[in-house]
Amino acid sequence: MFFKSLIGFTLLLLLCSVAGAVPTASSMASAPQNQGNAVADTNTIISHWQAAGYTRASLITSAATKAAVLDYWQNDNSLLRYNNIGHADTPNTNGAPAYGLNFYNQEVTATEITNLNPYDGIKYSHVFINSCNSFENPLHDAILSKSVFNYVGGVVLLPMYNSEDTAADFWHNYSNLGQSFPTALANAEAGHGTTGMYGVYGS
Amino acid sequence: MGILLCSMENAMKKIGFILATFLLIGMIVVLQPVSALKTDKGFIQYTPSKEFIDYINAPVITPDQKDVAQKIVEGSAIFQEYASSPRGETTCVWAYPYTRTLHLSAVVGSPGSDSYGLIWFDVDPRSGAIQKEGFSNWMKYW
Repeated sequence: MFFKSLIGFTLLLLLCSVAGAVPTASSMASAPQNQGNAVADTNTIISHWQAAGYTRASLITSAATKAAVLDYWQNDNSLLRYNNIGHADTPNTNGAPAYGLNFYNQEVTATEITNLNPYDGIKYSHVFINSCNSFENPLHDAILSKSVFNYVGGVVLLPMYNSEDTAADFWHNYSNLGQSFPTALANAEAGHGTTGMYGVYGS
Repeated sequence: MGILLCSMENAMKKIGFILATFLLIGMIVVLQPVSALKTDKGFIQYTPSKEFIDYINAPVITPDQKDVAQKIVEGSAIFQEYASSPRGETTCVWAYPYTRTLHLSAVVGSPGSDSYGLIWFDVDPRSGAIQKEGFSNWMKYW
């Protein structure tokens, strides 16, 4: 009788945990568009994270919907690393305002990011957004309003191939070689001819 | 014999209770693997700029303002140029910094086509003037 109750209780707990499934990866990378080296570099980045001991998740092309990405930003209490390689809503000039990020077929605006609540996932995370002008306002302050620990984003129009390769090397430098955020970025930029194309917040 | 059976039953209950406790602890550990690593140690709260605060506190854009802005951009040369291309939904937000100008944008084309990018407009709905407009080439830049 007792063991039957125990089995029943265990099954109930399992059912509850599955029904209320929330993302639990400690690192997540998204790439809404299959362009340039976005998908290959995203896979490289999550390999770097795995080698550093992080549980990993990725959202590639059609899986990288606004809802799916924001689920991690809002609910993944374990999230410590986040990378996105994708397009921004920004004019075609260096240093222009960035109004939002384009996930798969849908944009999340800076205002929506600012109003995002809860934001337990992205809070205290280390974030790299490889998008044109993504270090410019209003997107810049919207992301920092979510209490991210560090943030790297573009201050110019980021060229395809070299920029996403920079992101991949950056995470290797930071997560695997133990370099600081600014040093990891400077070394990654130097390797791909992208020096001065990014801004960095935090140490 | 009865006493022996009774003590065995009690022992099994205790073992069951201990197993259930370990199971619960195990499930909690598995479901929350590294949340304890997430910490605010060393975190410095960012102070947003005044321009950003003004932007976020701007009034909500009304449907009428959106409609007016949409009609204005539909007459533009860039909009006409991409009129036959597949177009995503239009995003309408305040331009930055906030000066009551609207920023409209829409994705045109697709990654597999010859042309893929974002058409965008900064529009003053009061004067009906397009202040800035352009096409961001998403085949070359992120």
